[in-house]
Amino acid sequence: MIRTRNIWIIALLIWSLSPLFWQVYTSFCSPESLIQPLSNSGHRWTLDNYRQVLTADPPFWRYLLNSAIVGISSTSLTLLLAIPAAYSLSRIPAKLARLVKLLMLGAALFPYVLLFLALLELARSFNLGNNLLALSFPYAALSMPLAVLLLASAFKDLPVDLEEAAKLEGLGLWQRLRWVLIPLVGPATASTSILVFLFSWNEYPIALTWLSRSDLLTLPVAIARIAGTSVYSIPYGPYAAATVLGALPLLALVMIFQRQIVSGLTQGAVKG
Amino acid sequence: MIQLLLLPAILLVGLVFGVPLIRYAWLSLHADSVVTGLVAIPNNGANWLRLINDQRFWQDAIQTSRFAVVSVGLELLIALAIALLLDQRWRGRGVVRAATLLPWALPTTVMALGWRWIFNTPYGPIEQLAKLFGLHTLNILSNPDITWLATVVGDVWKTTPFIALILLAGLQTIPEDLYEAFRLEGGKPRAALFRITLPLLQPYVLLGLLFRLAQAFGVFDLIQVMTGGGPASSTESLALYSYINAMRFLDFGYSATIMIGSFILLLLACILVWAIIQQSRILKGALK
Amino acid sequence: MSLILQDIGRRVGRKWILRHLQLEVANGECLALLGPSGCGKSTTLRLIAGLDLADEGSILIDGQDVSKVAAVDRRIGMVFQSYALFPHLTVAANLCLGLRVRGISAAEQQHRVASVLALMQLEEFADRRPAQLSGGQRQRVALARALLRDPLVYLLDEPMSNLDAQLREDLRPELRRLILNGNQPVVYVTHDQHEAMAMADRIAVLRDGQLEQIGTPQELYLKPSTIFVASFIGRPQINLLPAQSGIVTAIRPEDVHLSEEGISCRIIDIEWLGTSQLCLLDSPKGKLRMLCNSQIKIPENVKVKWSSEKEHHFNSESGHRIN
Repeated sequence: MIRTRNIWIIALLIWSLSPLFWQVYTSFCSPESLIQPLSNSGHRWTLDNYRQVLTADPPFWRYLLNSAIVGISSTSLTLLLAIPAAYSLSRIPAKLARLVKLLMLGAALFPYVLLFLALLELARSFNLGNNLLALSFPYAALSMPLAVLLLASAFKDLPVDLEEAAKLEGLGLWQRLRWVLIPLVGPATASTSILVFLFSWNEYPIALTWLSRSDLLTLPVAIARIAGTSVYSIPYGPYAAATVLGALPLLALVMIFQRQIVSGLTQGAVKG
Repeated sequence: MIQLLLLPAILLVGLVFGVPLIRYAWLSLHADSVVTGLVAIPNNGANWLRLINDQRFWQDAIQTSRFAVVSVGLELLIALAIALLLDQRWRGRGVVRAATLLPWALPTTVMALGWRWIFNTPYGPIEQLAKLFGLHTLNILSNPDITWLATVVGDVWKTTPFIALILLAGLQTIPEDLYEAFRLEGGKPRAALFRITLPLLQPYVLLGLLFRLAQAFGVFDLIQVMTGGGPASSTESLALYSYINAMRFLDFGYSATIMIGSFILLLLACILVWAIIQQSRILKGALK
Repeated sequence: MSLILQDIGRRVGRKWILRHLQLEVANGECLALLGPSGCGKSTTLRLIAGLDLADEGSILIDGQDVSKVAAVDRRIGMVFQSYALFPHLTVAANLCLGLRVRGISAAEQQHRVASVLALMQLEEFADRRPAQLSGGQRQRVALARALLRDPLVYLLDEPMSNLDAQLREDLRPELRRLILNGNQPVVYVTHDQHEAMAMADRIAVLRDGQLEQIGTPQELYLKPSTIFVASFIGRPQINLLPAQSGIVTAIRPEDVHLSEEGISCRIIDIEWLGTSQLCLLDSPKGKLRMLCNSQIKIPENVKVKWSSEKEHHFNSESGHRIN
């Protein structure tokens, strides 16, 4: 029984991790050894790929920084709008709340890729292209349905007594949110934040169309650009190094915020 | 007052989701391309006529559906296995859970390029393995018959953890005493899977199915980076086709028409899936 | 008169869950709202607090009409059934929060919190979270918070119902010392008539959103104005004899005595209650409850009687008392 389970666990780990390990392996290989993997030439292992990626113009960490800027600003904007909305959703009459939730669910299901053209037009008419912070608007809008649904269920779960006690203590709406309600939905806020951050960090089609200056690219676009350089001769070594460098921050995030990610996703499933 | 707090969020969502749909509907009735000097001119439904007669659109529609159905089907099966595994208690479960989550957390483009290398002919590991077993070169990414399967692998690898977590959440809502009662009644563990677990998991399966079908139907990042839609447009998705029309051919009117067309197809597909689900429920009810 | 409810009503949808309620509570007076669940007692409390707004009538505190004033601005000290302590804050921070948002200086906050902690003997728990406190301690923190509000009216919503019986008895004198002896009107909601009688100066019995009777505990006990109040107040429950020509006669179990000249009954059951015993009798007038001294040895067949002065008479149709 336990032995078969271990086999499954190992299979799962191989399935999930081996493509990544292949990237790690590739990133340390010299170009010659990639072409002749079984030959035993002396130049097998190298750090050249990393050197190349980190000294390119713009250097690779620039993309990480851009993605981080977009991630943080989008997450902040999302929370800024989603927290009041979720609070409101948990306090307004049930019928209206159901309608809003259904709309939000519909938006969450919508394959947002189809929006890129009109969003690009909007970006052009409001002159928002090549502006990292401006990306927060579409990103916040695209994350809003999930964020509002998650936070609303967290607000709904708080005992009503607590807010009423705060009212009688003389706390106005903003004071109640600031001192009582938001601290109490902290775990849900953390889950929401990490999910929104991951989405914004990883988003591709909109970043692809909104950003063109090479020093402003976010990580996914920068990596796809490497792919676009040529269909036949992609510099796989440097590219793999880029993959590894791009994956490291996310590896850290997943390890640190594993619990929040899981509870965010599962809350979304159970309550949504 | 409290209703007002909803307003900013709703406005932003409305702007980003609603405005494009209206704009596309309008654009799809206009010629707006380099030919017209990027000025929108009404063209009496010519876009729609073109769409109906556009073989590439229909081929992409079939390819996209095939991709979505096969990927989501595989994802559900694998995710169920993973969820069942993670639902049990064993040492190191947290670490393994984090490891399975990693593919989902990485940007799609990152691993799309990774897959391109893994499926590379002749240097990728898959080809090397094939050579080791004395097989012919597979030419995975240049054989129109099998390339789409490679994209399915990429999609399954990335999104299975998401479904697995949803199913895991579902598993954890099933009370333990149901299984104990079943065992006391003399039920076999395997029978419990079909008699208890799967029926109670149904809503979560449906949720994952609906959500993933819609997302897979809009697949873009993976295809664009992994195959660019090739070889011979065999892996091109509807989203990619509309992207190419807008960004390469600069034909915005037609691109918008493709998007509205895709959206209508998706809506029909969702209704179809829903109807099948309802039907099967009725059938099940009738059999009982 | 410091708290006055004038003809207030509250509606949910089309249904009135409270209507035509008139109450007056004087400064320093404790009024208990008593009734079965769903009778409207909690609704009344929420209307006074401003957590819900009345659909008709008005509420006056110290002569000021507060019907339209939001809960935040009403200066109400309320103790919730669940205590409603903020779980993420320490005891001291729980107490401080209201003072801080009301713009009281930091030094003054410190001083007031420290003195109320001392008053409630909670000093050693100042840095604990509510989850680390026992039920009785939480209740005292909730009381302390209400005290610090410096309110115009105290509202207590089933403040003891989450405590065990022993703790309730211990806390009653404390509650009396701290709140009931103050100068503010106190409204105390409970479903426990013993608690109501022990704590309140007057009791209002509610039923289906209507005021059934209001009066001192003695008045309610000795002169219940309806059958409902008669059977709701007093344990063991009053005996209701079958209606005769439209009149229901009621007699309390403790007013029924053993007597040679009485009606003959058979003992069905005896409950021993310590100082007294409760006998269930089968009499020609139906089943009767009799409360007597537990020293008495009860034979199987007994004769009982009661003084007609102790009888209560009610109209069997309306349920109202006939004098």
